[in-house]
Amino acid sequence: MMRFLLGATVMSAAVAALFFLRFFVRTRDRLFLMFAASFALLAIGWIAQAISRGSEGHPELYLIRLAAFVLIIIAIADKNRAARRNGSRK
Amino acid sequence: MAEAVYILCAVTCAACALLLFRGYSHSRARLLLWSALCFTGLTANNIVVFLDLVVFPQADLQVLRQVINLASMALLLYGLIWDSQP
Amino acid sequence: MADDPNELIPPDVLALIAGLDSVAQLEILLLLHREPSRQWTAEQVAGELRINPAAAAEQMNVLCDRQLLACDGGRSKQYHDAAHTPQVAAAIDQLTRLYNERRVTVITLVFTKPSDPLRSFADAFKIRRRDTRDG
Repeated sequence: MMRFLLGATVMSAAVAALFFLRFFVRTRDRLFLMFAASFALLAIGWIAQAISRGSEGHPELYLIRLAAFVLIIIAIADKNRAARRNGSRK
Repeated sequence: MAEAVYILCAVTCAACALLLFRGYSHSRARLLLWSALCFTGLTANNIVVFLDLVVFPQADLQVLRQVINLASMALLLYGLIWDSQP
Repeated sequence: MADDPNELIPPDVLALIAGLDSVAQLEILLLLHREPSRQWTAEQVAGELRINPAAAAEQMNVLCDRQLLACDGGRSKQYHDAAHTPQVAAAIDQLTRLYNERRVTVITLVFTKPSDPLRSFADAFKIRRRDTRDG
């Protein structure tokens, strides 16, 4: 059951990453690129979880997830720094 | 260390969910609704993982957690597929 | 052509407006299109349109990304009107005319066009919302 769930989740995250990548190509907005990388990392993390059968307490697993969410934090920070610096509507 | 990471992840997800819910209330773009729901689910997931680590690993909850993950991702995918074009 | 308030805006022009976020971008595009061969710096444009030079630079970079303007890099960036297809050039000309004749209509369109979900997604992550539109 877990393997099925993990497999389906990995696939969803990978597809989501592809969508975000496509959005980046369409809009040239860095945020989408970083979201794409983030969801790709989530997918990788879930793959690692499926392979290792370890608990989430293991560094390999939580470091990957950490990387994924740090990317999102960076994406948000980047979006806000750009907005503040230019004082414009973009 | 692991606990801190999952708390950070939960906070980040919650922030994303909040920002997207707010954005949805402004723009009514449904993609934001689905994304917000996805991040809400991921927040819940990260919180439960944290509780699992702090209390004790319970194998039963693993399945539930992964169901939440899958449901969250499914909502996001639905939004990406159907609601990403005007 | 008489100024008929019921005259429909052509789809080309609507598509063009859809690629513009603000009146500043609109005016920058129209300004540079007026003299296609002339090179502008952000400061010159800012002086001409009486806007903040930093804001002008940012808007012109956006227009550059969208290939409405062409820019040569370097510290003092030079911008000029991009080499448009005849269709796009005609649309910009029409937009110029419409902006002169029906300014309020055009400005309203800039702000009330159906917003792009992707733009809304990205904008949702701006913690301080500066703009009043929903885009």
